[in-house]
Amino acid sequence: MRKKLIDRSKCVGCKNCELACITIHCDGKNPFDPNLDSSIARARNKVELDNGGLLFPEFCRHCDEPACVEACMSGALTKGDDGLVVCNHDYCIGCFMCVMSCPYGMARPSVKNGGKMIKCDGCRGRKSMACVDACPQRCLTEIETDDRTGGQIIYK
Amino acid sequence: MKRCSSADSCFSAYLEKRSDVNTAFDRMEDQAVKCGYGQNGVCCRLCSNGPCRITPDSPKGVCGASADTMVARNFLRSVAAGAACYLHVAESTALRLKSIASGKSPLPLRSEKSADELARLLGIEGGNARDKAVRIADAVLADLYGRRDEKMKLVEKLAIPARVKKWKELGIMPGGAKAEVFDALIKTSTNLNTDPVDQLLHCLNLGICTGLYGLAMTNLMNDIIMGEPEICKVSTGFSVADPDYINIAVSGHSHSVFAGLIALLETDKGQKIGMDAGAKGIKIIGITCVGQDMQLRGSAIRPGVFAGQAGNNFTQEALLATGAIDMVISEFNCTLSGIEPIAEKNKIKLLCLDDVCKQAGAELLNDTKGAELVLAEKISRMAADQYKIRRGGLTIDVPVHGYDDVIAGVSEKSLLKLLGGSLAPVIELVKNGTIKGIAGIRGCSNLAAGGHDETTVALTRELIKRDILVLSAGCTTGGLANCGFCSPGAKDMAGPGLKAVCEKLGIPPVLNFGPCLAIGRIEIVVAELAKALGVDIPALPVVISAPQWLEEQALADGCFGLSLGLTLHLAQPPPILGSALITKVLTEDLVNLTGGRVIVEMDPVAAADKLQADINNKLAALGIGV
Amino acid sequence: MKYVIIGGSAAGISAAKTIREKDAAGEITVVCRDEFIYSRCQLHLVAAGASTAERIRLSTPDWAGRSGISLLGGREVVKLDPGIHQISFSDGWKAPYDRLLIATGSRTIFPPIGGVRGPMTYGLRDIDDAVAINRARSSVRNIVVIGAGLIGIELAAELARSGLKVSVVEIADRPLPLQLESICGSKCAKILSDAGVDLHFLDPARMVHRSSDGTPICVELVSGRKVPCELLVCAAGVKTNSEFAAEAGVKTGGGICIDSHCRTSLPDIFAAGDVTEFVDSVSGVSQTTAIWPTAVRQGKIAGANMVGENASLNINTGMKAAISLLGTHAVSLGPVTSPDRQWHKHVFIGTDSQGRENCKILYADGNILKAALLWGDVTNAGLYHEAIVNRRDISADLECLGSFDAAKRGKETLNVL
Repeated sequence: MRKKLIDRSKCVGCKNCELACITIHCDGKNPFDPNLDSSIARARNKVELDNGGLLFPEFCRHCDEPACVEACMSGALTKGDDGLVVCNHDYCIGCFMCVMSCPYGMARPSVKNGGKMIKCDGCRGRKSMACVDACPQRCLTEIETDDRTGGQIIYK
Repeated sequence: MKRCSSADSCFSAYLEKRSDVNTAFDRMEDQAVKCGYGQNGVCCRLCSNGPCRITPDSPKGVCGASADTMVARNFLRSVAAGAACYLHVAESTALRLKSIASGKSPLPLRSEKSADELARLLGIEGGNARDKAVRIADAVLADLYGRRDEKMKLVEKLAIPARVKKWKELGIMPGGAKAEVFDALIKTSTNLNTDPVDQLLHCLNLGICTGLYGLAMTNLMNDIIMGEPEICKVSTGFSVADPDYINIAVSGHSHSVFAGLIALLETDKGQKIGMDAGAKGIKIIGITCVGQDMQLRGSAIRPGVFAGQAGNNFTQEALLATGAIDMVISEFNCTLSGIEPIAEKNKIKLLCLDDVCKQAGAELLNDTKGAELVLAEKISRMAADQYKIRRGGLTIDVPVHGYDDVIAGVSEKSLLKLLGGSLAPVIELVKNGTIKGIAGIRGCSNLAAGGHDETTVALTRELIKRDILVLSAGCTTGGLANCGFCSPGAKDMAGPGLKAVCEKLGIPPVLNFGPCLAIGRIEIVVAELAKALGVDIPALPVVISAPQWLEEQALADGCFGLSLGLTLHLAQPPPILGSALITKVLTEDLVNLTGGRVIVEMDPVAAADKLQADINNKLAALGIGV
Repeated sequence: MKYVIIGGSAAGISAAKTIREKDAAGEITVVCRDEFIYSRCQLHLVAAGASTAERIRLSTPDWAGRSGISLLGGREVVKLDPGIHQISFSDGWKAPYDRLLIATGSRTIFPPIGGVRGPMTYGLRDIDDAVAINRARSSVRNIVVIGAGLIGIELAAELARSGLKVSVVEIADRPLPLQLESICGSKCAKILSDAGVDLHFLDPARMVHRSSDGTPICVELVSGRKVPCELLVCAAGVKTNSEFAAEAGVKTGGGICIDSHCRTSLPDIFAAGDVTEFVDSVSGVSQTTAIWPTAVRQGKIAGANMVGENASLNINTGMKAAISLLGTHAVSLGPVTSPDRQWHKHVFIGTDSQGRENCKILYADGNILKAALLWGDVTNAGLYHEAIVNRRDISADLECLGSFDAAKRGKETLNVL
């Protein structure tokens, strides 16, 4: 199972991961036209600062017991056999019960698609995770593991 | 939504009340995460093989540039831009001076005395004040427009001999100022100059251009056009905006651009334009440094025309949201993009008088030499029209804010006048330990260094507590004034020695020199101190700080301070830390070159400790007991 | 093992899925009044014509078959015989059970006022209500909704958006009186009135006047005002469908009392969802809930325990709501509208770069977050939820809230608020 290893101490806040995520989810998938104007696009991950002012790259954990799936009243959010928690935007109506429930703040409201939720899709179907590919500091790395528990993220 | 704090608690309270307005204070949180590469100066966007960043896995750019080269290039480019800004103001002032003095512009020279004095300093003799003024302008312009391989002639007139000697030794005597800026751009382009030390030296060169021409010379020319500064009591704060008047907010750095408007509004004809629209008249309100320049003219401008400085640059969005401002005129920088949606919502007319400061929503008017009064009338009528369009049904909400007893107008001349003609009294006070040193706290206001003016206020409070006299100029001062530091009552925050001086002379512990241009005036005072003590500038018990520097111009100012050999404190580091070499040169080695160095310290008390330690070392070397 | 589940909504289906995951062989029967499984939270969209019954289905028609679950719709409970482990339905079937889950939810309370029952009068608890309202609305001009709670407001907003004249009648002084305090209550009222909804606060309905054929003419309010009405929707409260259980000796209060394992007072009988009553982790008070995620969770726990595990609810709260109103969002967490006296109310209001006015209202008991209301940009609402239910010390966050300070560094905390 593919998991993401995150070494916080290496993050420099360049936000390449956010940009890569926006780019691959844009219609054109064109890195030169990612529509960074927030009225259109939103990253599914976020580099934040914790209360100590230290950089904290936050990603969806694809939890074993996802609070967002439990909260979803439209059936849009499901946890697949590959372990990934993905939102089907055709069913999402933007009620944001998931936003209210995710203890990591990674189920987020998006202005795109008429106000539906947006979350990491684990780059399902992609050869590798876009954020990992884009990180110039190797703060994010991809590992293969047999352990299917504990979600998709390991913070070092 | 975390709103950035401000040292001005009255202003903060107003921001909280006006939660319906989006300002820079709200946008800080969205931009909280900074790119580490940018912060450290190790991102290079010059060529299409990039953008390159220096990382542990990629210690060089594709072209082979090291971190030192990248940082130096980025830094020189910033300093060049900053120098260019101030030089533009010098140029524009010189052109205006020439136009007025030659009779083309139908405006007075308000201080012919200043023309005579400046001519004497520059070695220009013969003719009346107007003739001299024309030749002063020509001399300045000749230097600004000169070739790079011909050293500027006025440098040796404006700087003390010891400094000129040092600069010649270091090879940083500037050629034509604009040429220096031009070539700095070339140096910092792709695969051209890659020598970090050469680039740093060029920064110092540009610092000299900035300090002597952009700052000092501009002030001296402004004095001829607009009148000599006088120490006076003025009002600051949002309360200067009286809704009964048509209020024109002015933003920029070029006082002389408003010579025509001020002249018109001093007349009954000008005020009648406002009265015909239903107001009591028309007033000018300062929102960035040009206002602080108007603030220091004292009796040279008819009272009532300039209402006062409302606040420093980061207060402008809130000021416009009060509804009391009918028009904003910008002739240079520090006008925030954030005012555009506020202006649109509140139907405030935005004008600009120079295309260098053309905002998307502003109308650009032609400022032709000779047609100043025609332009002034046009502007006044536009303001009156806007007043009529926008005031009906509008809620105006101006908070009670600011001080009515701010002492302003301190300059190299008015300070001497106050002290009885020489700096000897100050020197005596330093020698006998009543005053423990002098600090120039100046420059910008920013939000990132601890909040709006927070570090500035905390550092200033710390220094005056230690009996260190503070000379201040810029948005820094605008912030300090609105926190009471430039009012007589501020003496109670000072230590016993400084407090006694304040009481005796009737001054606050922070001397308000006005706009950031007046950093040049502070440095003239510093040069005079050096002359009086018979030493070079690095030996003086004087330190400088730009605690909340904001922009490239501040970096250029800083380079002047370093070329003068002063210890310069900054709270936030400039984007240089990615290069160990540049950092070491600026913070350590430079002291052996120009005598100056940079101290980076975010904590105000620690900063005061370090600055005082520096002052004490210098006092000891001068044989003054500590 | 025979598992019988009464109720095919959030709790019931969640339990069914959980049981099947853990017991591949057991016989699972879900009996419900509904004919198919759908999202009850989207009924207002169907009622207003913004969605359809088909679009709000939560499972494909063959789901039950594929999962080996027997789904029997269109039936109601008639009698529970706990002594013989039997439950009887309206179609005559007497079903034996080894484990029983009661997930019968709740039904509309029609206010006890004259003339309230009759044609063109509905609640909004199931798909039949929604379909009926949708069908009826095309032939009327004036709709009155009694109750400005979650259901009433969301319905009123959607109906107004579809172009109808809607009036809302409410006894409290603001909309969403259980979720919004005064500042956001005003904003909510403005959104509704800007959308053309007439709001009548502090003026409950007194009686419904009907014409001779029973169709409503107007709703008369306590003030005497008569609000024209041709279609009446009552969204002023619900009652748990627990009578049959009470009659059978199951301990009930406002709802069926459960413990932290979703057990009722009788052996082998469990309950989950809106029909239950349990101590709310946030308020500390025993109360019913009406929130989808809570029902899903209770269903999961009940299902696990019905299979023989020992799962516990741990956190169980219904004091949370995500509100979506014509493009504006809000999240209400904890007792926002009934704070303790000694709690401090921290209010932060600002306008962001997109021109959206956002509010963050926090109620803290010293440094412990007790309740929160986010209005506008509700990003990170889940962090507040987590902080409230886990009684986190948010002193570090409270220091930063309201002011940004880039210079504060070096503190060791994990929370991001």
